[in-house]
Amino acid sequence: METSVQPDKLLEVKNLKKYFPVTKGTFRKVTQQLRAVDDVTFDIFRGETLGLVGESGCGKSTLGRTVLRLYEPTAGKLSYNHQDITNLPMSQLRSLRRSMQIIFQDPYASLNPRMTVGNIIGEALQIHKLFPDKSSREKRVLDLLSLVGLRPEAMQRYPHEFSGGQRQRIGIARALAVEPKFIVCDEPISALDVSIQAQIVNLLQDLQEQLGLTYLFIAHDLMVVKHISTRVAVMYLGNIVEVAPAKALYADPKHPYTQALLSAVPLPDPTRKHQRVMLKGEVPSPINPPQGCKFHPRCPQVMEICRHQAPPLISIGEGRQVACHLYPPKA
Amino acid sequence: MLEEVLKIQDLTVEFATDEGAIRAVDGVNLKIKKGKTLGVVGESGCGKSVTALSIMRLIPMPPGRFASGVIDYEGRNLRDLPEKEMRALRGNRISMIFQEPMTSLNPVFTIGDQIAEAVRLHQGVSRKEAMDKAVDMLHLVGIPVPEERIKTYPHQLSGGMRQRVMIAMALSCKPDLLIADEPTTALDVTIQAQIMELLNRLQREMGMSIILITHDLGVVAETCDDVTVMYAGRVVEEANVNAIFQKPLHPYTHGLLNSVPGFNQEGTRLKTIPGLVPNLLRLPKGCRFQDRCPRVIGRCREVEPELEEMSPGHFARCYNPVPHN
Repeated sequence: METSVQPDKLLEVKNLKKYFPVTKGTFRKVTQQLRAVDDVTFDIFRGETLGLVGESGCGKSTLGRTVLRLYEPTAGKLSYNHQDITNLPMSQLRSLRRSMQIIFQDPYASLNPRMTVGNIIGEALQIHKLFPDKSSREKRVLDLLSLVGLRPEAMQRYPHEFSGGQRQRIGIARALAVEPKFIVCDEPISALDVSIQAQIVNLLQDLQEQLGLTYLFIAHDLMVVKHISTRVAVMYLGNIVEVAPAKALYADPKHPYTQALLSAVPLPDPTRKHQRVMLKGEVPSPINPPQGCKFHPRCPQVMEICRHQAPPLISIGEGRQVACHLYPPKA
Repeated sequence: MLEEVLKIQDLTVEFATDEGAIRAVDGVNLKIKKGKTLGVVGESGCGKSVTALSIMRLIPMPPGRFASGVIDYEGRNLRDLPEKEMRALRGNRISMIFQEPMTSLNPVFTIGDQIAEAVRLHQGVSRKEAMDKAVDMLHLVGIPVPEERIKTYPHQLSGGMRQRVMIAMALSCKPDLLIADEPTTALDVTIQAQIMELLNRLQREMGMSIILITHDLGVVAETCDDVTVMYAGRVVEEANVNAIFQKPLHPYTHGLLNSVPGFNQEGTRLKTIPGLVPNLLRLPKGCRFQDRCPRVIGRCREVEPELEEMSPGHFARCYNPVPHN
């Protein structure tokens, strides 16, 4: 099982599963399992941005939280910086969390309305005992504010005094406070206006260059993901169905689901009308996913084998992987 | 020149706040042609939703107030229409669908009851006929097994299905004008594509006009015939869809288009519009976009420009429009 570990893998995820119990009745008897993440394997290389896309309910946010162990994995193995963290006890996990941070979607709900911005950002420094005295902590907070493009006065103010884009900057400053190496960005710009989205995307890219960060960038906006990502992983119903370098994936999607997903994106150009692969119906429930390939009931290229046998994620060369019976493994 | 279904002239809507009156919509003109789709584009707080709610007369008054303007629908000014006559129009000749289908459906009634209610109210048919109509409408919007689905409650449906129900309800009386306020913003792209195709098909079949309020420029490019761009309560640009995307004149429109990834992008950073939308209580003297504008000149800080016709059918509110060769 032990393979030689490549030096540049920051995060390794092997056969990761996260099931949530579905309960029924007064005694909350577990009747079924919701398979939010169902046997997922991938790596994130140091310094890259891995984009993670898929429709709502495909498990992309659950995956993002499970790799940080904000959710306990049901099965599988997580390695961070060549260290197995799957079963790391809470005491050691806390110090690890300095290195792994998360930025949330909703900048309105993820900041405590009763705390000043200075305290919100400074709290993490206190917890990790990074800047024990008040004046050095304050200086660190001011540095962080300037890093994310906020004025020093922001420190004494409360979250409600800021716009959505500014709040997202506060969320980013909080994540950066403990000098992380790896950040899960969970839909960080979905709640923002178009012109503000561009500001935040640029900020995230600037910070990545300055601080050498690695991102797992979760979003449903496919064009933003294309722009920011080194590689992109596509999820469907708890599985990764395709992974490829960003440019290659958008230029030549292999999996029928990726093809349909990309063709659904409206192009901001009225003179270009593209051929649309219109998917029928909606994503099935992850409680009773279809047998075989989970995409087969909606797949325009479904074959007999797809109904019985789930295709594994295989390499097809040029750093690309796909889970589809249309692409037989190379001998 | 196509016939206009609705014409708004010099509409100003004020809201009373603790710090004084703000003009959410300030001297707005809009024209919606018969059978066409008008896109109204802008960021949060630009006044696009208030404009739509004004047409429907759904602005709470107070704190809201019509300070000026005419909303001309078939020769009648909706602004002064008695509430009783307005109620006969609303949901019947003019309908609206909202962004969040979960909060705009009533959770304690079945979707069949809710569609039938609109039909019975406006068409005076029996309960049985109204229910049959509800089944027809659900079939029209592509909901499978509509006879069974009319008995379900909103929470039993997915987001895409709920938006279809909203559309079925809005279209049940065959309106002349449909106002769609961010109809697909809460939905996934695959479902968005289904809903937009549905709206296009129904528009072709029923010949209605649509006002599509959105911030998604991709959706605008694919579905709209004409576009109005709003900024801080003002219309800043107005043209047909090709002109807006190929020759945007106002620096704000130009900036919006450039900030969309995958469009006019070179290099590794997105072009941004710096700064924030101005506070409507403290608007600057002159043009409202001046502090964020890369093409600002002295005059912009003195007197606000008027909305002028720069080329046939293409209007912009700018002293120093973006040049195009």
